[in-house]
Amino acid sequence: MNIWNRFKERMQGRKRKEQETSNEGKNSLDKNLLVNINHLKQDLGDSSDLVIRHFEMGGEPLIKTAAIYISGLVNEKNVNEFVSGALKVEASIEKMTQESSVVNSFDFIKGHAHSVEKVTVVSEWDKLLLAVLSGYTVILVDGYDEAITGDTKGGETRGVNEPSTQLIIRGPKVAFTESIGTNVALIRRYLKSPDLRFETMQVGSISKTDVAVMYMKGIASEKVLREIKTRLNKIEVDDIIDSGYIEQYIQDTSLTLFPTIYNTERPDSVVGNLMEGRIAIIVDGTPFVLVAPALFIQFFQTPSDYYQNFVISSFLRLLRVISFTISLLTPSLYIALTTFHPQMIPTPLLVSLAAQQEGVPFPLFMEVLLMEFTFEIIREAGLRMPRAVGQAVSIVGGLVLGQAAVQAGIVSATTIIVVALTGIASFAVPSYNIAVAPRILRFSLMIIAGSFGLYGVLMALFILIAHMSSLRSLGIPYLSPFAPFIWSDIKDSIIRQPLWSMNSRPRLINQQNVQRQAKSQKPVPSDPADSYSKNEKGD
Amino acid sequence: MRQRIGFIWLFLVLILLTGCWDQNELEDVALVMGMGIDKTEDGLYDVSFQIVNPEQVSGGEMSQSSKGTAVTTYRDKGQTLFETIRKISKEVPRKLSFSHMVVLIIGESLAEDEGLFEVMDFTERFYGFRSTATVLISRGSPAQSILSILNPIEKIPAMKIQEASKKTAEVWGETPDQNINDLIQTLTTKSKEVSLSGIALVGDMQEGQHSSINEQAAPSTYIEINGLAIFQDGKLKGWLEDKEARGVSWVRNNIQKTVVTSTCKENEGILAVEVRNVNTKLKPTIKKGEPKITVNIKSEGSLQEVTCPVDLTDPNVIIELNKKLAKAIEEEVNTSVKTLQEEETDVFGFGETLNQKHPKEWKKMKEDWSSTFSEMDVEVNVEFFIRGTGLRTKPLILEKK
Repeated sequence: MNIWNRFKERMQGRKRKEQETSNEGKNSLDKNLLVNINHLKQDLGDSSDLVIRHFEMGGEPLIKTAAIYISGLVNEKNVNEFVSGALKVEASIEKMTQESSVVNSFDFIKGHAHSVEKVTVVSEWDKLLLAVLSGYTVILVDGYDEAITGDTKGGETRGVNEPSTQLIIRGPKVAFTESIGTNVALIRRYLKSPDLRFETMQVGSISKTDVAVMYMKGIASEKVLREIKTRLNKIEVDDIIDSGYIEQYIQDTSLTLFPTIYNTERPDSVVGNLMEGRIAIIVDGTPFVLVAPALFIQFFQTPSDYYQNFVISSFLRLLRVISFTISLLTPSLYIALTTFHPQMIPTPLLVSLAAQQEGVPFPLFMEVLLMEFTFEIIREAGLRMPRAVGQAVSIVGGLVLGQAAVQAGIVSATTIIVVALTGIASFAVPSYNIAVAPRILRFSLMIIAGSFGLYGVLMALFILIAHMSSLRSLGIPYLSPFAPFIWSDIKDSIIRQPLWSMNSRPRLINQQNVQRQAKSQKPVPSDPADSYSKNEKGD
Repeated sequence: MRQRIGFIWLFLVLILLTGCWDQNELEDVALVMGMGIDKTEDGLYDVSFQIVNPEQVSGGEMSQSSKGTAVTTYRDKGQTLFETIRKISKEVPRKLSFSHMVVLIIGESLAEDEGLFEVMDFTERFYGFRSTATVLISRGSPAQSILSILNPIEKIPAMKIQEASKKTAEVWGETPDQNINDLIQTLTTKSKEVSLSGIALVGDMQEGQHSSINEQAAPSTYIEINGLAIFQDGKLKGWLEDKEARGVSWVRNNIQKTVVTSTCKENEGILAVEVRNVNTKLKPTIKKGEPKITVNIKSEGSLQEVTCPVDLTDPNVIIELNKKLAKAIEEEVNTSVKTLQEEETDVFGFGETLNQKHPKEWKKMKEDWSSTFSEMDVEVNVEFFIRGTGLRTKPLILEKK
């Protein structure tokens, strides 16, 4: 074990050293423009999307400049503005000749290059490369070992659309996109506060993916923030493609089926979480934003819970938790009760179950296991089917496997009902990644139920709950506010109290700036009797 | 690590050392709904089991496969009950499950000759039984014949029997619905005698066993709850009928609802009252070593049927009727007290009340309680209140004139 680790470390170290030395070879720009351009071409493998536009400007002597960018990554209009602004040939010739004695041409060009955002000067070779590859336009001037970069990022991106995974009935109908800039802006539009901070870092030694940590200063816990940053800084990988990568590198433990970091594609959800003191991690290239710390109960909540009547929301939340339990337990309870404890089933129901079981060739346990497995196959098949084939899957799945199996007497109707109920119940859980947990746990529970009965199921549940209580999300107990029990946080957990009564933010997540609204906000008509009589008088 | 291994061991022990479970596929289990116990002339138990035929009972598409009876009754004989239960496997291809048994029927002759103690020991000791099964004494015919009669309303006859026993106890009150638990409790005290509802077969047994009985609109063969069996020291002593039986229920405060009738004036018609809220209190006193019980019954009800011309809006009339109804109830109770004193069996539990109030004296009386009971003084006070006159006030018969 130890030897292997040491070996691995040494190998990685060697690799990294090699990379460093190759970069160190020439990490500064040359004064000669052509040398620089050739170097760049060589580094990018003479790539065909690399655009190099040569300009000559000024009088005596002619100043050679070049604008460099990669065609697909930039917004052509921005590039033109940037380049023409900086190298405005006609206007500059006169000026140049007048001022050339006073200022050097590099500063002159830089001074004119303000038609785009973020104009900087770089002198290191790798920074220049990164700038070109991130969609910046770089202007090189002959005779100077520095380059001017301008942010001309652009290119084809997806527009802002409706959410495709977290649909709600009432509430904003906007979802994040793959562009980090758009995503940050979407959040900022909700919170016009200087306290909304975001810190960007680049993760991935090759991909150099932008990862932004977003939080509300003064509300988010400093400790958690520090923890997140440390964990993000620890990531040393080649590439980050989706926020799922980040999630797996920073979660407290990966040995669990339960997600300990929340992800969403809804800006309103992120904003609500930020205001509760949570921290969002936005990764460039994916519409899914991570939110941490996440609690178990959070996965049963949707943004629209806050947009509608609290009684309805509370009922719906309760319903989701119940369906979670149903999807976890129904098949195993069915097996345990019918094969181990038939005395627990009311007589008429038992008689009806027994009648169906009559002539079914498999033991009940095998039957349920088979059907559950079949259902999982249908679900997985239906997920990625092209739309044209999808119908075939549902016909085959629903009719052939369901109805025909019962009619043929291979499977009992109750088993189909149980499997269907389990399936439907798992769809009622709003968060996909927590709905997956019971899908897998179900099978082990079924095996336990088939061999130990109800007793085994209870034991398994006992272990499951013990496991869940041991989980932490960035140090916050996963099962809070139930374990540890926090009375003040129950108001927004399995139930939701009216908005006017939720005066404080969740206690465990946020410990500073607890007050979230003024007290006694219960809507009361300002003496309706009085205003009525006034109206009458007016008439 | 060591600790962890310790935990794993503990957990394994927890899982592996638990007893009393059993895996059985539903199609390998025969659900026994009712069990009847008789005794043959040569001293063997004759046990019959009513076993459900699930396919015939349940609704839905699956059950239309074949025509047959909803239940099958199997019989076997043996020296002990347990032996018989295991021996029946020679006939029944499945494992008997008693957890859903709803009735236990004990043959009249068995109850008379041997008593209940021997049978009930097994029913309580055996893990398979559920103590909520209703216990009944078959009257006039062996228990196995009662269990073999089919029934058109409830597909499972045993459930019909239990339902009937429960319903009649609820709305008519003559016969109590007692389960194994109640019976064993009464059997084990000396201060109270057992009384159990009877069940009788009406009609021809052969006919009742055939599924064609379910096609008759007015079945010629059926079973009914019939009479109250009274016991002395666990042995059947005799039967109480109709009002005598209900007298026992009045005293034991077992009446939930019942119907009391009375004449209004001299033979001018009749009225029926639905009695609710019955509250009976037994007050034991001992004077000069002689026990005396005062039975105070307070009850109320509402008029349901009136066929005599009385003005029900007049409070005095109502008071008069109250007295008449109280009198009717009093008579019922008195007759049953008299009968039971003659039979020398204290099914009322008077001994129990004495024991509670005067434990010292009870110890002296305990030994020959039956004879003391048969001579003791019993005073019955009944109060009745009419609380409503139904949806009408004026009797329809008054409109005739």
